[in-house]
Amino acid sequence: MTGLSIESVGKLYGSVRVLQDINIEIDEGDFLVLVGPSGCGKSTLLNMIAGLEDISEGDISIAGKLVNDLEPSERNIAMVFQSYALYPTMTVGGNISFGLEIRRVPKAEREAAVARVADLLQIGHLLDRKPSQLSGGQRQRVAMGRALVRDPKLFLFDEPLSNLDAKLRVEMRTEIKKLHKKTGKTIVYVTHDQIEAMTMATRICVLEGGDIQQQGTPDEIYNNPTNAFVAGFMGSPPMNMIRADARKTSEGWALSIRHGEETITLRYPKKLPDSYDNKVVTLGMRPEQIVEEYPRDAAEDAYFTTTCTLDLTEPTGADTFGAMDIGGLEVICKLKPGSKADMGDKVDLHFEVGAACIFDPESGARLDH
Amino acid sequence: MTRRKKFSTTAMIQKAALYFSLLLFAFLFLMPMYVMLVNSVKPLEEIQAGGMMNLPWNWTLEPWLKAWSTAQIGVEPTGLRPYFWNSILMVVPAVTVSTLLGAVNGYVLTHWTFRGHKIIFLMMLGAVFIPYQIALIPMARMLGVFGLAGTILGLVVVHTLYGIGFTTLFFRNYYVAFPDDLMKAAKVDGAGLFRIFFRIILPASTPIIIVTVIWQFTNIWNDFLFGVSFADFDSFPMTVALNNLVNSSTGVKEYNVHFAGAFIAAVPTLLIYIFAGRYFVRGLMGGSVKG
Repeated sequence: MTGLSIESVGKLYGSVRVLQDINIEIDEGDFLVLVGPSGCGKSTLLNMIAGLEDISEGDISIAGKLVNDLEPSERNIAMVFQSYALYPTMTVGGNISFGLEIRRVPKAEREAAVARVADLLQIGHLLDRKPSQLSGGQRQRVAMGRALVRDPKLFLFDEPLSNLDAKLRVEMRTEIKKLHKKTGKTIVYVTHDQIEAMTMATRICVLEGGDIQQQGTPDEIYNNPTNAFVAGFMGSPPMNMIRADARKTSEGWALSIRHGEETITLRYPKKLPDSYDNKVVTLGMRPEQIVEEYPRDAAEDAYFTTTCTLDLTEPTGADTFGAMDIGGLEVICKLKPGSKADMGDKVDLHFEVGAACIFDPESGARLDH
Repeated sequence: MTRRKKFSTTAMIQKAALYFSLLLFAFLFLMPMYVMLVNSVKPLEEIQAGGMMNLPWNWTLEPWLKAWSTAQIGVEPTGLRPYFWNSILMVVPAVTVSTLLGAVNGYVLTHWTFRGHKIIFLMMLGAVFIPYQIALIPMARMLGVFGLAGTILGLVVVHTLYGIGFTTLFFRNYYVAFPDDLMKAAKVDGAGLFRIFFRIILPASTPIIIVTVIWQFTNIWNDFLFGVSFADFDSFPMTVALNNLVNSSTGVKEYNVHFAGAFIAAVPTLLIYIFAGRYFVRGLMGGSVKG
């Protein structure tokens, strides 16, 4: 069954267009993450799903029911906000049961529902406290409790973890994911943090400038980006965008990149449009595709090996990244774990050229196929 | 050690200067009150004998009783009592209604904005700067048209209308700091404009309500101009009656009764400051730092 369907939706503020031709369809139980830089329209889209903003164009249906003209309270949704938005003068229990109270749910039923949710989120001991007496993480839980208690068809999360410190954010991320697994509810989650998107989503929709750049599973988005924007936005450290000269030879395509004084020519196994012969293209390679040590089971010919000079190394504990100069731009590669390589050292690097993406340097469109 | 000593000497001098000036100003402010108080509990002869600053030889509550219930106000020997009640009947509804309307206005102007809300707010703000004198004649005409001239209800209406500008300003500035997400969360929970107001916004407004009530109460209670212009002999507020008490002499100026009367007139505002004054300062600061 459809969890949420968005058809040709657009949003205009007066004559200013912030969203255009948005089409998304997810199944019941899906975890959709809307991700993009600030100002891309993702929060506006979420507010339109919630009914907090008017829909200028198109249709939105929740669980098969058209909701365009319904009030937020009639859409069978619940929402968690970045600022938690807990009612300051009510207790935790009051906050959680407020929505039920308005819906005239009998007191005994309300209390049972609050107890159930409090148990699920482990906030039973906090029910009599006021929001001001809670820590950030506890407030976040209460905000989720308020959403969960009404048992809605669709959950909306508006950057719920942005106000938490780094450690708590990772904890809550896991918790939300577990909660999704446990309850099987349809979720739409807005964030600018691509790691949150990758870790939690079953489907990701990347937005930029009011347009959907790409939607798909986290795996598709990460490994098969449709354009340079998606490729650069997803992943940390981000994908390296290397300037390369493309040339068509009798054995296939060759890409030349410059490292210091020398020119390195990589054989590219995939195809490019013929019109890019002798043109400059952008070679997109993730740091884990330029490695000092490749997996043992990898096919030998998948890699092109060359020697490069490191400008900098960045040990992060689990991984060590190295930076070098290719064609005037900084390129990040992945060194051996615990590598002792330092600035100026020469290392043998293996380029997994077959996994690389090629983009048009102007439009950012994906070229290889 | 020496450094510390040197530091504390300058600090001591500064502190002494500070306390001296504070005490001086406190003295200057409290002196008139002292004079009023001691002379209101003296027999008239003691005042006439001079020694305004002296404590009374014979303590007496007679002037207070007289001012309250038997003193000549205009032509009637009623004391201030009926006028005190007039003032209460005027001030309580006027403060309540103007504060509530200000709260609703402030809430709508910040969280349920509509086309032109800025203009509306600017116009209301403008009302704050209109001098009382300008409104006198149009207001008198209006009260006449509505049949409210010379009534307490008329005064309530005038003070409420005049107060809305101030109360709206107070509440608007307070509510601006409330996150919009709060309204969104309540809307998703199914609450409407008034339920959000009464269940979520108003309970979180205690400091600003206290500030507004103090402000409105003291202004309306102490108002003389509207009272003397729009009220009648049987609807004069306390301030006008006090003036009449002082001016209607039957030969001898009964200073002790006048002092007592003035004190009675000041008691409600004093009480308000004593019991709610600390919220006043807190509330005024409240909007400046986002909590």
